[in-house]
Amino acid sequence: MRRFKHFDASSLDEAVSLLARFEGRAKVIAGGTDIVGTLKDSVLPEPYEALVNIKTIPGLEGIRNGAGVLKIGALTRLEDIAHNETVQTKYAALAQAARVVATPHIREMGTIAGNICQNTRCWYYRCAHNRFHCVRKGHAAPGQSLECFASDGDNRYHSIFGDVKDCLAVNPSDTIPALIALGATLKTTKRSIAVKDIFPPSDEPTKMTIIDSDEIVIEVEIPEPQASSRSAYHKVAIRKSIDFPIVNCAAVVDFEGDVVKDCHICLNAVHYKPYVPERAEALLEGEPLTDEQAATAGEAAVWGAKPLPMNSYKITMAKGLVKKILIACREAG
Amino acid sequence: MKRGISLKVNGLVCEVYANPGETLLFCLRERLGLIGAKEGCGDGECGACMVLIDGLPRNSCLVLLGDVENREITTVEGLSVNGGLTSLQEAFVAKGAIQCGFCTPGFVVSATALLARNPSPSEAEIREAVAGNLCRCTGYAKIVEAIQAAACGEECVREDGSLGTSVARLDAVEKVTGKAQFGADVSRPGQLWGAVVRSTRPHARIVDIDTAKALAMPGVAVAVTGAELTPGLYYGVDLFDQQVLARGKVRHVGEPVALVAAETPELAAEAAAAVEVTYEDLPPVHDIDAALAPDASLIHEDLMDYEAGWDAIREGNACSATYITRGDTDAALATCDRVFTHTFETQIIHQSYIEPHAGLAEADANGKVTIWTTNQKPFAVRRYMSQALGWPMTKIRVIGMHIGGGFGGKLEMGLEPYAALLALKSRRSVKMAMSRKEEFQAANPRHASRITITTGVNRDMKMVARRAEVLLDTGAYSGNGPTAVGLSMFLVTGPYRLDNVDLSGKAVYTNKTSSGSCRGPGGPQAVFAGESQIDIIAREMGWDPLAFRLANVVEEGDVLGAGQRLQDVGVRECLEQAAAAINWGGEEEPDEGVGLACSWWTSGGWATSALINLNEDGTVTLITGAVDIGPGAKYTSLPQLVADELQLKPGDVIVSSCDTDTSPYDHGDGGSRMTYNVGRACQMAAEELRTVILERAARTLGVAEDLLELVPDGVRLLGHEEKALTLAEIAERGRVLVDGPIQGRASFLADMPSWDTDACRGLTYPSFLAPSFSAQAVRVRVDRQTGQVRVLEAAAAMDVGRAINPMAVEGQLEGGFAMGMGYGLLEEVKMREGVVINPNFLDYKLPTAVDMPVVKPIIVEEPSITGVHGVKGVGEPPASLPAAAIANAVDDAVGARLMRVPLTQETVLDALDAAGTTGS
Ligand code: FES
Ligand code: FES
Repeated sequence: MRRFKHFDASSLDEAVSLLARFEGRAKVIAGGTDIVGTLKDSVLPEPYEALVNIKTIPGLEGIRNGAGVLKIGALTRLEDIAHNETVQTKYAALAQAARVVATPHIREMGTIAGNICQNTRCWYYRCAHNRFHCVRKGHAAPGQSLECFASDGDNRYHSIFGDVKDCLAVNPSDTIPALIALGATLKTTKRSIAVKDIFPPSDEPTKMTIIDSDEIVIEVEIPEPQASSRSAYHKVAIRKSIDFPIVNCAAVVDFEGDVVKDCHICLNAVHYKPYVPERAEALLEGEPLTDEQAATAGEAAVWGAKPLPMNSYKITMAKGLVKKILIACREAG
Repeated sequence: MKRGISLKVNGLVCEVYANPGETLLFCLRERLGLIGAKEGCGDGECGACMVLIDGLPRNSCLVLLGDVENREITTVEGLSVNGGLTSLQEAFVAKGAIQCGFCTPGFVVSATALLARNPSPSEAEIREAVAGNLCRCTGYAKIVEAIQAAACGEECVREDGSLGTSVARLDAVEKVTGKAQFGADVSRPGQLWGAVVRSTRPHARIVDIDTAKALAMPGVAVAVTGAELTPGLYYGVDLFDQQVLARGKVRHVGEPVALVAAETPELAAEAAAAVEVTYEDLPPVHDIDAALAPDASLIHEDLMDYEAGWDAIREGNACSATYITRGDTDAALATCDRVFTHTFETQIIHQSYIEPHAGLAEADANGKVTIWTTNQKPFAVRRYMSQALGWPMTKIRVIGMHIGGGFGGKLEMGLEPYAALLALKSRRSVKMAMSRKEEFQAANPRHASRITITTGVNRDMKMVARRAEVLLDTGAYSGNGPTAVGLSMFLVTGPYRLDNVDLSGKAVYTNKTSSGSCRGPGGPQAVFAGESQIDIIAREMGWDPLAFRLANVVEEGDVLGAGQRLQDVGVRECLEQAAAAINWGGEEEPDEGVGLACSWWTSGGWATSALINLNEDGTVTLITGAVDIGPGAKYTSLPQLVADELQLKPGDVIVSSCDTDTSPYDHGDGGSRMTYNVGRACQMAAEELRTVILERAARTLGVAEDLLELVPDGVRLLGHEEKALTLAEIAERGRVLVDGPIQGRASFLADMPSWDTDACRGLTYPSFLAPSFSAQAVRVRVDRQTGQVRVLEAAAAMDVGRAINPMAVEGQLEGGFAMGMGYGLLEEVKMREGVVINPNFLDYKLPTAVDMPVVKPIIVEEPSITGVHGVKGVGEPPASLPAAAIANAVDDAVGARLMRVPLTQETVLDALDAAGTTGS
């Protein structure tokens, strides 16, 4: 592992000023399950110089059920979210998502904020010692032109909705689709912002989120869903443990009788950012949620998909998954 | 930025002076000497490093010291109370949950945490709790069983019985407590850390290697390049085509080019990165077709000049060509009712032992180097080093440590010569360990293959001829390619009676990581191809796949392989029992299917010897050069055989570790050879010891030897109840009065069964010693929406001749099935221009505890006339069958026939898509 400086921050202010001091060359460490690996493998062309430990800052952990809103501290561990009774009953999609992240041991360490802000798992990007210096990493040497190695490589797990600035990597988070479908907001040291809005516009491929290098997530807030709504999450992954999703999906459906009053669907691992299939949402609203409707919504969800040579199967998976999740919402009464 | 950090470990407060960014794992192991936490991946993916922090299990490789200041840390060493085992540990020992034991501390820690918060977990909860712990040896069955037993408060009693009973491994207690020392567990004060500079190019001329920058870094001690070594020296398994450090050119990404040693592992890695190597790229050859193309660039220009250990046929990029012909295949195919031709492909997999290669070397005043290492063949390491470096054997001593899994991947030289060279040059002890990434990039994985088979059948269900071409991609060096290709050809016919076979095989060089041995080298490839085609034919002809197999399987006296005549054939019973165990022919749910495969394999041969001393208290010491990679013969069946011969208990046998300076020669642990060969030598040595004991007793008592008999712990006169002399008395008499200490010894090299020398050319291993037979059956369900294949039920039957330790045999069947299932469904080393793109346990997918079905082990005993007590080799075959059985079951379930493994979700889904049968 590259040597780096390690700071224990005792307050958010201290952490922010440390981060600012390193001008992008320092990273926050909480659970450490993502960043430690990145550092060990010298994944980046220019490694981070410092880590700022924020677990030493009091008050960033825990789940609080407030008036009409659930507040989850940034450092709350995924395992605690998965087993929290309120989350399980009212925010089922989130509990289900947190429950299937990585391994039980990683869930004991990994935090909600880390799961939201995690880096991509593209195997070219992650290859140790920066073996594939790709477009996503930037920092081209003079005269060097950077490419995406997935475009003519093994792209079976890459985007089915095209590239952004040539990069085909996907967002691998398990919890993000649930948070977006549930309408969650992030509170950071700089702002309050809807989770669905934290992703960069399509001309900034090197960033997973627009959260600044000296900005720290403090809390996730989720409005309490309508009593008449139900949510569900599911992930298709290769193994039942350890793996990131090939495709995952969360949905929150508010019913009036059989009829869908309002509906939020979010897929992930299909594009550089979470993918909200608005066509599918629109066609469901105002109609009873039959199996056929769910299947049609599945078809609509992948409208416009542009599979790569090795991943058209993901479209089949995504369709089926949307259908499955919608039916799960309907049955979850 | 080092500082004092206060840690609370196993109840004690300790102060370390370290960088808070150091991992807890490194600190525990290297500063505090708590080696129970292991490094298997360093990335949070294997769980070998598990410790409790404030009672919760954590991957200590991801935990930074600064984050655990003043927290309660408990390692496996802190679990046992007053030196005794916890009931959980006791259950691991008694239930056979431990094989190589490298994963064991991690599992024990995870399970301890589980039982603390949930004293009576369900099986599902148990599997879930260890879903972050990888085990490559056991298939998890016995681990789950042990945790269940501990949870139910079942009293677990270790057996210490006779032959045929499930004696607990003699090394289990040290493994379950984290005390067993593996390759990375040896340390010396003031040691340096070595690192290998590896090629970044698949094929290139080395123009220059400049170590100046690296050597200028503070803390960097020495660097070594190929230019310093005696030129012209090569080594290899069968074909001597490899040098210790690349000279002139590199042939694969990851090939060792130079070495460095520095004060810390980080520094060594940085120094390795600072060595500047200038390359001039050569056209790379990435696959079999490119290698065999007429204008292919040659990977080894000197191929024809290399020394070979057999009558090698070689040409171009094919380092070995092999042929077996029996009967007249052309004529038979011309006259049979139907002829089928299919081509199958298989991938590269990594053995994925959880312990990476590791060791330590130290030089003495005479320039003799001692290497503590984790290698399956310590004597071969000494031989290879002597060949490759030109050192006499008097200058090399290899000490075998516990091996955290091998599966063939540690049969060749690993880090040993590198650590030795660095130790000699630096005059310091040098420790080295491969990272998991290096393991994937630069060890010696299983060969990828392409196999084309033509089979002729008649309508009466009889197979009349089989022709096959086996092409193995052996990578940059021959490794075990020449032997693997021959073994593949033996297996590709299946255990079927065929009068006409025409087989050819080639091991082909490419610019990829060089492939070596992997559990049954050449086996799974051939079984996947051959047994898939059996099912294709059966379905096409409207035959039941079981009936078709039974109509053709070999019987006593039939001819197989290169014309050897078979004895002691148990394949029919294996097939029948495996099929019955999954209710073959019963009702099937939608999208469920069943599949079968059967095969045969050799009990590996090769020389061995054993020495047994009678100790003064009447116990014995078995001195053997054997090592153990996990299956446990060394700690189960060998002491059982010795004890049986001497009327002792296995627990009365001290088993030595392997030291090439002091142990009698053994070939090594591989090739399913241990019990058959080393067991035979042990039994013979024990027999000699027994004879000497009786002779001495007879002389002491002044009676004829044939009036005496050996009984537990002594000798008595026939017909008498009382012992006349105890073993201790006999031993002590020898020591202080007459004749000297009492020993038994034996050397053994098995006679290979005769074969038809006219029927074959180019084979390195021309006949199968005491062949074993296997059959497996699975029931799977295919999810049409995701392409996911779930094995619901599995049965692994094997004719093992005689099970000396049934629990250990079951462990091979269960663990072998898991490995084979990974091969069939999940695992593939993927490369781009020779660079492995998935070199970690996240992207390279071993089955986890939650992915494994319950595997029913079925032991069939058709004793081998040549095996000690009838034994046949067991270790390898169980991993060769699952892929074929699963592929057959998938076809049965959803009508998708896959011609390539692994059957990943995307390939299954694509096949279903092509057939228009996805979705529900
Ligand atoms: S070494 Fe820590 S999880 Fe593998
Ligand atoms: S016993 Fe589990 S990895 Fe060997």
